[in-house]
Amino acid sequence: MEDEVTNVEIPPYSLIGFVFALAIMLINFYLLRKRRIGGRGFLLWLAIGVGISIVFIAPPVFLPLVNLLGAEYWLSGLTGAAFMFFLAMTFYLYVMTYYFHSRISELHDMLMKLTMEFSVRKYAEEQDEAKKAD
Amino acid sequence: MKPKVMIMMPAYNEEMMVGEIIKSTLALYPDFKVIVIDDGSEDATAEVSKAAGGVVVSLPFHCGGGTAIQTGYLVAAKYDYDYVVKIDADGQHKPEQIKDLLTPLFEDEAEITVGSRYLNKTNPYDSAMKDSGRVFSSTLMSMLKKIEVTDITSGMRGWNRKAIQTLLPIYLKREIIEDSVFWMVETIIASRVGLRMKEVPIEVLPRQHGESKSFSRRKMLAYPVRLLTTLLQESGRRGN
Repeated sequence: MEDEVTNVEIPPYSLIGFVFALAIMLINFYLLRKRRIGGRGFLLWLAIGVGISIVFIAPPVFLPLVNLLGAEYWLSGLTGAAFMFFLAMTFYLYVMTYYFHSRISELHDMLMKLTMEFSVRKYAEEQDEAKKAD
Repeated sequence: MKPKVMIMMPAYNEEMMVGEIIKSTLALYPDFKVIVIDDGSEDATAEVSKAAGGVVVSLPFHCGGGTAIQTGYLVAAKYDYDYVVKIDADGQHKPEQIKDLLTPLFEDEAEITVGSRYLNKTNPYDSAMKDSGRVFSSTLMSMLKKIEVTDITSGMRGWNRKAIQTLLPIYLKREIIEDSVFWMVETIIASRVGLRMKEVPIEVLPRQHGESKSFSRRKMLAYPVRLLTTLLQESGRRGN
């Protein structure tokens, strides 16, 4: 039990992580209001944002996990840098996911509208042919 | 001159019931046209519908309820129908009640009529979970959007020509609305553009064949989230 981490220092650069999490949540909310992201995507990124902000503003919440993994130090420079890299990659993935998701949605909507028009035109042609046959 | 009335019946794999519904509808209202929007059925829905006297508009593949309904609006606008009533093809809506939805439209009391399971009595056929979901969404709409409704998810509805001509261009301009929130979004749009809505009491029967396409356990669990995010999205819209 002596090796357990009990004292958690919050490094000053935690603020960057917190701001990042806040930005994700605000962008997420904006995209939802603009209908650029679906309900499921919104929830997923909201959960990620909340999770990241908890890591930075209330790290003791994760103490049991840290101790379960047998870590001896709370945060080293290396893990800090790795985490920042992780955040950057997450944000990149977020942007890419958003881009492809909105593009697929646009194409899906176009396909549906085209299908509607096609079906109605086909129906109109069938009606015209039936009239001619009569 | 008699008004032109279209009975819109979106159908997906409903060969067991659709014929019977069309026959009873045409027996009650021989002057009305029953138009089945076949949403890419893999069974004999289209053939059975035609044999029963319905007219079939076929979507080439399964597109979902929202797209099928909008196809119905397109047909109504193109063929200049005065009134449209939508009923389900699974036998849950009673054709005898079509006139109840039409009367307020004929008398110009509203542009849209909505059949409500909860207006005069409780709904005896559905599970408590389904009922709670409907009551929750209707209450949320009443609270947040100040739109008084008792059965927001009801699919038995009527429209006059003005409603169709107002709603259709809005639908064609915006993104396709997800099936589970289609009626909620339509109610919000209708209220935004000043279309008058009136609820009329209806009885909704239990399904006799097959499973409901709009209610699966997974969909029901996701529904509150879908509802809240849709309300947020609709609040953020400028215009329609």
